[in-house]
Amino acid sequence: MEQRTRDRYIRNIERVANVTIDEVGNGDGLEFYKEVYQEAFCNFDQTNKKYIGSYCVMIPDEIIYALGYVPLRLCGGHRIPALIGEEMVPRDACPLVKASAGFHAMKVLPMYNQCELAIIPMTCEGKRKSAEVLSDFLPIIPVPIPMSKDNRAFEETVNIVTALIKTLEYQTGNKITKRSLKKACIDIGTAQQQAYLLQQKLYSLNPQIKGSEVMFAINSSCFVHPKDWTKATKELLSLIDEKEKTAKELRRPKPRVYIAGSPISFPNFKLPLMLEDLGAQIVGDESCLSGRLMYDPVVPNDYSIVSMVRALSARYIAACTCPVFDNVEDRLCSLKTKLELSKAEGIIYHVLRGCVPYDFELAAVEEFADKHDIPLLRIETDYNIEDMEQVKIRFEAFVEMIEQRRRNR
Amino acid sequence: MKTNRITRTRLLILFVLFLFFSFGGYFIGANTEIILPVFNCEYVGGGTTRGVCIAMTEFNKHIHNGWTFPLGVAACIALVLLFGRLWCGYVCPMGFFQDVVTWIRQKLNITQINIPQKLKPFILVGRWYLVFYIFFYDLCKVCPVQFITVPLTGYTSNTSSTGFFWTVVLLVAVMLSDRAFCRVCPIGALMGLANRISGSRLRKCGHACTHCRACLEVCPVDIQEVYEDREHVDITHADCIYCMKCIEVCPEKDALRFDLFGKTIYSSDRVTQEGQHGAEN
Ligand code: SF4
Ligand code: SF4
Ligand code: SF4
Repeated sequence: MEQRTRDRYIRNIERVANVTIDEVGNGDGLEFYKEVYQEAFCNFDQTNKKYIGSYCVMIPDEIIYALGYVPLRLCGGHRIPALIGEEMVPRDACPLVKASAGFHAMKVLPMYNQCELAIIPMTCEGKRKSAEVLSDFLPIIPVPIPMSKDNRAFEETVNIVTALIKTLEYQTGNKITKRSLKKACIDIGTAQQQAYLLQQKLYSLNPQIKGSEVMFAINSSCFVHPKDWTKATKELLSLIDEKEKTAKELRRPKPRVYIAGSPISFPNFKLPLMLEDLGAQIVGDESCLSGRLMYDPVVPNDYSIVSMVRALSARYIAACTCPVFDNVEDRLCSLKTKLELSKAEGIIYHVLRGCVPYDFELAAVEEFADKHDIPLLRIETDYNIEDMEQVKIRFEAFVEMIEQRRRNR
Repeated sequence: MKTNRITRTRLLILFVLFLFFSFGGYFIGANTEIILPVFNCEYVGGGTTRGVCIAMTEFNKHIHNGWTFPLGVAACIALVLLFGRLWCGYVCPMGFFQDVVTWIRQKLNITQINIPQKLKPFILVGRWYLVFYIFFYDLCKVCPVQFITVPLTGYTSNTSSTGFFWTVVLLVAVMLSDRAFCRVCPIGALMGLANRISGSRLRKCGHACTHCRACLEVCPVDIQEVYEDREHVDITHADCIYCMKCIEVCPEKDALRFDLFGKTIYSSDRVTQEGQHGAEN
């Protein structure tokens, strides 16, 4: 690659990342997460870390840590590589797939370059087919995921995860031990507990942290060791606790909005940021790269490898509410619980242009929202910022409508 | 909330009652009028109450001897109707023995064998065969329980090679799978009928459940319905021994709960305390 092109890539990746880092919160306690993103997206020097990448949220990070590697979630949310990726995958593919392919092709980010291999779960069409595209750049382990959640499928999943471990052991030459897997489970488990507590802070009637900040913090866990993340998040939580002590009740609480739908990942935070600019309070989200990323705990019956693998399969696949599975019921149940807990007054249904599974389930979620008398707004967009004005107009109307509904109560 | 709070308490209760059943007789004297719905072997040296197992096998022998025996049986049935299989989870010495084996297994990080759901019908047949057997044949001749709880108290019982064979089978089964004996236990089978109407209820809030399978993975008797069912509030299963492990591990607030006579005793909650992970800590 020409040095000039490379420099241009670097400049652009850095610029877009920095814009989001600057835009998300001037709130205290976010410095750590900002540094994490800066390190991941603005530092282009090679490091000596050995990465194993994975896509989606169905590959247990615990396994990768237990092998002595650093897991990386390769799902791209960046609009510059999405442009590059446009040449590699069909125009109608979603921007996430484009960005992921683009990042590999650009070969500038160390975390993509240092990735020894990537594990791609066969979830949606995009992921399935991009496995082949990406195999031009690095070794790929495609992992089939049963698309149903019955018992037979679960046993199959357990076998698949076991086989994945075998493959990884063979590829890396390292062995997974009870000890290393248990340690990884506990490290991630502790981080997951903090993430849960952090999300709960949004349920308060006057939350002392913004929804976008919570999403930002949780998404950053993809790029940092859970222990460091836990430490920073504990500090953030005690900071919020402090603020809560002195916080007064709001006379006019902000309209409470829940974000459902396609993944929102760094640096594509345009929707949450814009919503908050318009005075809404984001009270939760079901994005697989923030709200759901660290939600479910791993609960092994005992710490034998088999039990841990079963618990990992259960947590990462059985509990997953991704729309690629064959029915929407699990997702609606979890939406119902979350909406109740967060006292949400409106749902923004985010569809990444080209993300068919989420769009397919829109009808069911719409019906569900109707039944529970919660207004829903579908927004279809991608990583570009050209449509910001249009989206803004619709958001404004939506937020206004929520306030109107309140007055009518 | 500690994830293993109930399990610890439960094991403690089981332990104390085990001591009571095995050695209590030395202090308060043997008593055969009180019949409890558990496997409590007659050959135990310091036994103090009568297990319903021996009452069943020797039903014909005792039924004509005065009124104390029928009264004891009636009281025993009433106790079962009131509490269901709470007896299994918190009282039965044989249950205690199996839980201790499980506890050791977990400490050693040995996996249990997952019994495929397909085998369930066969287990069911075995269980009801044993019910038939205990009523019409002399179960004591082949009962493996006597080789387990009786030696623990320093006694030996009559020896029979069939009984011995079943003991070995049972020991291996219990090592491999939690509460293996309870799956075929004839007393448990009968008490399971009472589970439908007793005051002990396992209840579920369907939409709070994320289908994470945690409950099913820890359930010692692999009750599928607790995990699967979202329609019914009352999900008490005939096999449930109310060990409440499912409630302990369920990460969703109030998704599962245990009610005793309508009063909620324990309900699920997310564990956010550091150092608390998994079912076994
Ligand atoms: S089912 Fe188990 S706990 Fe219940 S009586 Fe039988 S052996 Fe005891
Ligand atoms: S359903 Fe729950 S309480 Fe009943 S036996 Fe299984 S784990 Fe124990
Ligand atoms: S543990 Fe709780 S949330 Fe998970 S499947 Fe069981 S009842 Fe549902």
